[in-house]
Amino acid sequence: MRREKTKSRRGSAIITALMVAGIGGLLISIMIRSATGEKIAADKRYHNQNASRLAISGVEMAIMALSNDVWDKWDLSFNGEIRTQQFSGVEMANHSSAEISILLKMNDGFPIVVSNAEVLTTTGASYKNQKEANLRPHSIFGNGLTVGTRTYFLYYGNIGIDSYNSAVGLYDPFLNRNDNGTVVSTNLASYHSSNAQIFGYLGANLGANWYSESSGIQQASNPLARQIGYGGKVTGFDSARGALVDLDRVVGDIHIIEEEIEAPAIKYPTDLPRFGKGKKSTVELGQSAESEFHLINSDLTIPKRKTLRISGNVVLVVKGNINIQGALEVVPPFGRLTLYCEGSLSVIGNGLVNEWQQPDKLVIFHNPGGLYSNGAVWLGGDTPIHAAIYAPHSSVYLFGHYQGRPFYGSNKDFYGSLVAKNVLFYGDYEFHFDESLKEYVTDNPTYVLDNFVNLDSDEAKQLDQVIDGLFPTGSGDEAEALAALLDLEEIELALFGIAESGSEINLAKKAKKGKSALAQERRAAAQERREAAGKGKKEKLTKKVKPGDNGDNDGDNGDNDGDNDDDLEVGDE
Amino acid sequence: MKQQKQRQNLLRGYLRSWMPFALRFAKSAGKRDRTDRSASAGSEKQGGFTLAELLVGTAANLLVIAGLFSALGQGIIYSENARSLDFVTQLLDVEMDEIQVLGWTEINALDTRASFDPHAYFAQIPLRKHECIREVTNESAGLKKINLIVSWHDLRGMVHRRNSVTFLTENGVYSPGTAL
Repeated sequence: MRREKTKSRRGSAIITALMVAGIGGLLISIMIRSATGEKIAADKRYHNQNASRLAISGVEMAIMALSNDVWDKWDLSFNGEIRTQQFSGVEMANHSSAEISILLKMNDGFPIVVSNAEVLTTTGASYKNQKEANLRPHSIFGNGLTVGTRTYFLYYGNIGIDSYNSAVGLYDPFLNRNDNGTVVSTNLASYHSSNAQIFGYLGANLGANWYSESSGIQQASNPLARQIGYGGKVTGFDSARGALVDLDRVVGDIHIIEEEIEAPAIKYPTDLPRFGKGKKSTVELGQSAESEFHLINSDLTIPKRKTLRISGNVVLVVKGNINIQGALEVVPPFGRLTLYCEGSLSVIGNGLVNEWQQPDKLVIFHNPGGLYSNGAVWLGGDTPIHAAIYAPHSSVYLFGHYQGRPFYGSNKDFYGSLVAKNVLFYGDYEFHFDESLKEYVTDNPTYVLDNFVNLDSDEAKQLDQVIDGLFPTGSGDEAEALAALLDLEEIELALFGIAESGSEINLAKKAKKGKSALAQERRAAAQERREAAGKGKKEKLTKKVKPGDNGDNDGDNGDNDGDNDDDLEVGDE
Repeated sequence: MKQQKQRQNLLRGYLRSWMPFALRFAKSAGKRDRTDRSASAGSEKQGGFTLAELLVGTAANLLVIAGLFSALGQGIIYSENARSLDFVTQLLDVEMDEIQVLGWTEINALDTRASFDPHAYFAQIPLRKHECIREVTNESAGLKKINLIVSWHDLRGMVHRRNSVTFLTENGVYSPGTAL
């Protein structure tokens, strides 16, 4: 019995050893698995990040093509409404490669871009990322004041800046006055105890620490207080009562989009207007709503008490200086002036008389292309100015009243929008931004991003299918068959149906609802998106400053110590 | 003698109940031989390992231990690589972000090929013999290609290389500040 028991224990050592070996093996397996998993996860993160960046690059490429109107390498089939590009051969490390497929729908001037990036590794693994972006054309008159270098408030002025909408009617402090008087200026400076009362938004490069709870806005050290004056305000209807600066209405980090505008090429010059010898004489230009192009190769002077009346739709290019001592009138029913002035522009006397009182009827492009380094615009005169002025290379002087007395004419009101390199407010002035000018877009606008999102997995699958169809690899009949099946309508529906209404990519739904219903829905969805983007803009406006991202403005904003190269010596003016 | 036997019985009972394998080792050490040889003939056949058992067991265990060490080494290298790759991914991300928020003029002013310093973002760099390169090329008019490349050595001295590519245009997605 004892012998049997002993016998049964034989081999237990090997079993034990094998058990230990088994446990060890398990440990090895777990260890390797864990380490491998960690490595795979790190690889995934790396490739996914690359795919995401490249998908955004696709949006960048679409913005570039749109803004420069350059469509090399793009397929403009489908009447140009849908434009596609496949950008392949992006070399990645370790012999991986990537390609970007971009699909752009013009969408009535509000383009939608869908970008798909795929990173292919040598192991055959594929990492994809898809983005959808909504773009909008940038309006050169999208703000009240857009100033590339600096805005000055001078000579004890109280400067009021607000907005209205000329499409609704004339400016009315009670019925047609809004809180969108947007001032966008790289820098601002307040001299001689001047104050700016901005009833709207302010965007400026205020430096990294322009605001802190402890220092408050009214401290002397605060850059903003020095820029808009110690009694300056940035408020709106929704601001707290008594607030001087509503922080939700200030952006401390901006980027100004400048567009180069060129004067139209006009072959034959027009004779200079000849004013009669009488005390008051008028010369008319233009007769109808049809565009008329006029070129004056020299200076244009409108003497005192003389009037140049624009009665039709006139595009006037003046190569020299313009001196208005009398009046430049734009009159209904057809009067509309687009003026390109390549020299200096000075306005006194009766001044700019826009009888429409609608700024879009008098648009001035000053020093287009910045050909003259010292171009300047002096705006005085007796008549309130209703105009949209684009002078990104020039200093613009707005003469108001100094202690109740006018500088150069009794006017101290500007209605419209102004873009300049520098703006100088002399004394008291009222600036009213016409919001209807936000719709003003040049023939070849810059496109900017409204928003972008990642496509969800269903949308991404659908996009994959469309891309396979659009860019068949030739790997099989399937892709070619799909390509053949896809026509404009189906691409629109399949792709931009995704973009606009998520899951409404089902072709069966299309059959049920009919094209017009879907088109209506898409338009409604696009409208909603634009509205949402508008709301989003306010959120964007509240974006905080990124440290180190503000150029060199940290310590020299609006100071009076003359340490800036571009500081204006006020005494010299 | 009797007391010794009692103690041994006690120990044996204890070991039998709790550590049967240890008992076997104890037996194989010869203690049992000294105590039981007179009581029971042929007791050598009842305990101890055979040489074959010992050899196989030892070999198996040695194999496992070797495997464990090897796996440990491999695991450490894998983990190290994963950590390095995560760090590099993060480094590429942060450097690319810094470039993307530059203004177009500044981007145009960047050197075609230059190195960048990871110490600008991280106090410690967990990479051996690392090299960080930034390449800026004109892909087409108005479109810049930014290629960031990081290479480093792992524990075995193997060179690893990762990059991040993006394309930038003026007034594009990443224009700094609020576009106005």
